[in-house]
Amino acid sequence: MIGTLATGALSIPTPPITSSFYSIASVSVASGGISSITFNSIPTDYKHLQLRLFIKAAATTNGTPTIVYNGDTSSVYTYHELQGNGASASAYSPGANYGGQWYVLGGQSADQYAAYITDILDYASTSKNKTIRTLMGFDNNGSGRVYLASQTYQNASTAITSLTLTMQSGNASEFSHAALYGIKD
Amino acid sequence: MASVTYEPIATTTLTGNAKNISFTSIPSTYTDLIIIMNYSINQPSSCWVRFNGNSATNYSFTELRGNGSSAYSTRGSNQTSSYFAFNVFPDTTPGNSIMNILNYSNTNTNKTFLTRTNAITGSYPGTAAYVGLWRQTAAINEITINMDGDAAYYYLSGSTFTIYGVKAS
Repeated sequence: MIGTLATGALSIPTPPITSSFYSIASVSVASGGISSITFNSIPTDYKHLQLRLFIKAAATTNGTPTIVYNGDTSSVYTYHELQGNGASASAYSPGANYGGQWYVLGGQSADQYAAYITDILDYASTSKNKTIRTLMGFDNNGSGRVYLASQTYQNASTAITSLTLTMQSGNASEFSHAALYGIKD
Repeated sequence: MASVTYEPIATTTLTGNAKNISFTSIPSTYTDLIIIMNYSINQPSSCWVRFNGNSATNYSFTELRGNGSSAYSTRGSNQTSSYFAFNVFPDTTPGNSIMNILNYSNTNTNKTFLTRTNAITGSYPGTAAYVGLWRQTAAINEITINMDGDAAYYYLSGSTFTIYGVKAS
C-alpha cells in the first residue's frame, strides 16, 4: 500500500548505552578564529579513531587544513584522492612520500563550512603503518567539491598519541568544530 | 573523560510501501546526526532529503560517482531538496546510503552534510559520494526522505531508515 509513513518510532534506550563509540575531545572555534587545533594525550586503548571536522577557512585560497601526527613533519605521509568538482571526476596524488605533512586538499572557498570524516584505523598499533581514509567536501550552491581520500602515516613502531590540525593559510572561522572519537573493539 | 555516544534516535522499517519517510521532533542535544538507510525502490528514481519541511530552493549538492566503467561528477544548485541517490540508485535489491549531517543544531551556520550511496543492481548501479548544502541556519528538527516521481514511485516494504545522534564531549 503506497502512503506516507508519518514517523519512525523507536523506544529510546535507557542508559547505559551499549555503544563502542566514545567522544574523546572536541574544540569549538570562538570569535576570532584559530590557526591550529591539537588533540594531545590520545589514549591508546581504542581500536580506531574518527575525526569529524566542520571547518570554514577564513582564507579564500589555500585555506584547507593539514594534519600532522605526533608532531612528525618528516616525509612519512602519502595521499591519494578521487575528486568530483561538479563537472568531472579526477584523481590526484602528490607522488612519493609527501613533504612532511598530510594535506587534505580541498580548494575550499571561504563561503561555506566544509565537512570531513576521517577514520584512522589501528592508530595505536606499534607494528603497522597507519592507514587513514577521509570522506570530505564542501558545496557553495554552484561550486564545490566532494572527495574520497586515502592516506598513510608510515610509522609502524609508534602509536598516534597526538594530532595537530593546522590551517594552511589563515584561521579556521568562528563556529568551526573539530571532534575526536574513539572506537573500541 | 571519554563519554559513550552514537545513540539511536528513531528508526523505521517499512511494513508497507511508502513514498516518503519523515522523522520529526529531532532533539537538538547532539553534535551530528547520522542517517543509515538500507532501501529498495520499485523503479528507477532519484532519492532526496529535505529538512524542516523547507521546500524553498535552499538546497544544493555535488556528486562523485562511478558505475563500474567510468567516473563522473555532477551538481545541482538552487534545488528544493538535496539528492543522496541521484545517478546511482537501487531497485528491488537493497542499496544503502549513510548520511552524516554535521553540526545540525548549530543556529549560526548553514548545514553541510556528506553521504555515501551504494547500489549494486538496478538500471543505474554504482557507488557515489555526495556533499550537500542546506542554506539555512535553523537547527534541523525534521528530516523527510522522498523520491522523484509521482505516486507510482516508492520505497518498498522492508526498507529501513535509522537516525543516530553523535555527541561530542
